[in-house]
Amino acid sequence: MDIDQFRIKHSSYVAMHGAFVASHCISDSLIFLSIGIGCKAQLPHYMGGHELENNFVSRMGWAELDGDDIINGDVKKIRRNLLGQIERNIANFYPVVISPVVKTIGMESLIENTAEEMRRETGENIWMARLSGAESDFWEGYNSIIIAFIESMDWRSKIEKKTVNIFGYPFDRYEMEHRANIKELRKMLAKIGIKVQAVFLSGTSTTNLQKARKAEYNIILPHSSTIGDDIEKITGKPSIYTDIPMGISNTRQWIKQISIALNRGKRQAQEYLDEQKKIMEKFQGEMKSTFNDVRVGLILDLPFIGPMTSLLEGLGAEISYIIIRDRYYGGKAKLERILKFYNEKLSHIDIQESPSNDEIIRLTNENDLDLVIGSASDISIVKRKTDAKTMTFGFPSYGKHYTDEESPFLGFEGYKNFTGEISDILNGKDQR
Amino acid sequence: MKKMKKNTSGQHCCSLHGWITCLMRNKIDFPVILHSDINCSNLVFKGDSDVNTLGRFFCTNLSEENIIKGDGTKRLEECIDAVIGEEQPRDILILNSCMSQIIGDDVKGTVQKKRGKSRTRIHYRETTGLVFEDPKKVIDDVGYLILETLKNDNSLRDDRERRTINIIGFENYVAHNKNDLRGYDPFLEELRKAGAKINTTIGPGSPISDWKKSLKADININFDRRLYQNVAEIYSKKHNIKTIEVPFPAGIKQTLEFFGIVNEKLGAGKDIISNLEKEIKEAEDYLEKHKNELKKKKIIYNIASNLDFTIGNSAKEGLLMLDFFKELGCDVEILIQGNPEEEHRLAVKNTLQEIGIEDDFTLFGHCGDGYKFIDGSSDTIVYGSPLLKEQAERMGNRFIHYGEILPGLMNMKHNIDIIIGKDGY
Repeated sequence: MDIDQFRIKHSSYVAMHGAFVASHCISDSLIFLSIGIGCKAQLPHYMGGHELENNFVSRMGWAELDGDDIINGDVKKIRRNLLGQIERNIANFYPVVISPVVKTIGMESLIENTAEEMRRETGENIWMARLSGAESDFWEGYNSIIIAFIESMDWRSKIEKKTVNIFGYPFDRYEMEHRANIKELRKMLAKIGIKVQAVFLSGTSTTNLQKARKAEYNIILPHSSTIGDDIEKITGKPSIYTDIPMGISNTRQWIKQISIALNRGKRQAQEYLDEQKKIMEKFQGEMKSTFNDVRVGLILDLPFIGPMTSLLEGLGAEISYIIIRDRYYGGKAKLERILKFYNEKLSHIDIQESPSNDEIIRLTNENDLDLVIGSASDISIVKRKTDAKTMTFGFPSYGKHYTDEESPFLGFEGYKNFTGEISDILNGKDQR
Repeated sequence: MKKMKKNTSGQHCCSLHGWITCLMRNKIDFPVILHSDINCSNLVFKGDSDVNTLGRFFCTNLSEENIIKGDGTKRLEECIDAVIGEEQPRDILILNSCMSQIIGDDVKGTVQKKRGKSRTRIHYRETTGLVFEDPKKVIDDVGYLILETLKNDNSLRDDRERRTINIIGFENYVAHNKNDLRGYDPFLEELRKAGAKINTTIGPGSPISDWKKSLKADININFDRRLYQNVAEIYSKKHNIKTIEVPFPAGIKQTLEFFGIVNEKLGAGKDIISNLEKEIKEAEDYLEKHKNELKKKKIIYNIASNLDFTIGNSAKEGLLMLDFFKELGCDVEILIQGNPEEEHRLAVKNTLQEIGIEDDFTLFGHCGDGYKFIDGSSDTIVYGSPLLKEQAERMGNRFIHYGEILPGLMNMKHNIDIIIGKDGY
């Protein structure tokens, strides 16, 4: 039996982790963990260091179920401790989650019923976020919080024309890369006369998210593509599925697609895109000397792989390997189709699903890579065992924080900023 | 199923979490297999962990199919075979999880079946989050296992050094992975004058190399006899190293008491007082000089639930520094994070009485609500776990972390300066 399959994986976060992060990203949400004490301990552990704002500890509640509670299906602790959280009066939304063990024992319906009863009794916004079991994924949990929230909303409202919601923005901490991305998305749509009502998720409050009821359409980014149908059903608004506007061509395509789908601002869109094309192509030309023949490894969630690959190849870099972090978006088969869609020649890239740490090190060394882009837990392995330069991207990100400088990676501004950051790393001006 | 021991003021924990945390910080050199789904493998913290230590951990990564079919033990057998086949380790440790318990996997039987089939010693510990555990017990159990893995290694005892001591609990709480003794130099010099020297320090943050080194000392000294009870027994029975309880050597009174006990046990025959005359006088003078300032200070002594498995919040229920703050003349309020219900309050009261503390205390339920009990006065200082740091600073109070109070007479200046907030502190 191959020992590699038993090694601790670089990325093994489950739905519970994703739900915890997503709840943190609604500024007045308090996640209630109907789980055991060990699961409770590990959740803030991963946020600490990733999120400089420490208030995620304040906005979590727990039942600390023990063996007797689980075996006897006893929800007394859940009721008592959830009421205790409500008395603290710091939240307007209380998603309730369970761990794989609690799911396996079959307590899910009991806890969901308890949540519903308490919602009726207290009038508070208490909703169960449904998670699957032992093989669940981070993004499944993240999306389950979005579903729980939109289920909690009353969607009856007068619609404002030319307005949209954006679903699937992967906000994971209250720092300036995300703030700047949201600003960029809003700015680009404003250029073609479209207003954004709400972005799920964006670190904003429940009151701001509830403005979503007024939107005409929902734009579904890839991170929420798996729940697009549910979103459409719950909100009653048509979904427009798009890619992530990252890199020049993806951003252009994104603006065009939305403009066409809403039948709005086609002329403005063309003018804006023509103007940006000149600026971006000039910038891209200037950057190419830095990126030419640079060999890169990507360790990312599937939705980011296509745009990132396209962005880097467009600058002259060569992607040597891709490692898919998630277990949620369709894996290697799906990614091969996506890459083929981007560019036939990208199909040569070595794609791996959740390899062992040793395999990541081997791939990095054998390919003599210049740069590896991945989360802090991925690149901590690369950093210590290879000479490749590294860039932290995604959750968790311990080494790099954006506290005072807007640092987008989406849209045209994001292209310039993100490319500049990689360039600094390659030139030895920045290391993260 | 065993219930949590009620008379505790410290936080209870998931024993698997405690085991993994301590093993990682001990930088273990033997493989550990978690029999679990991938969820619990996240207890092996991957962020900034040492890659070599991370590589010591394996997980059976139970799938939904394993869980439904109940064939998890087959997976465990395969994992044990793979690890032994690849590494032929001298020892291997198997830990289980809530999931493997819930689905009824016979881990003990599986381990039994595998024992004796190779030269590898297979250890098994029943670990779970289904039973609440006292972190002190986990710390002790991990230490015991480490010593067990060393027990047949006679070469480690060849060159025992006379008049050397192992100190249990001198770990740097701030950077506990490094077992850092910076700031301890003046104390080590005083200890030398008292006729002893430190062989090594032992604790949940000590690397395994220090555990090996510990077998060369004369005695172990411990700040709480309830901590490392089983470890003390194995040191005594297998390695003939006795463990004695001493007060934490902070402040003048406790430091001299500490030196006195150590000196007597080692039979060093030195006149401690005359040897340390200069240090005692300087410490007394500095205390006298700042007596009035110190009297104005209120220390909010926090025992929290940061579950970091350190001596700082485990020995004497985290209140090791209580007498030190009182010796300085500070007003001390004890603030404990825990369920504020009456049953728990009584349990905490009992525990404190057991260790000779009659002080009143405040219980607060949610670790995010500690700030409600901090008054924001410039003379109030919060001492304790990092969880309260952000809240203390938000209220405008200074914060002193566990471990910032240093031992010894010469460190009195440092300790007083940190409390009065002298420039640079």
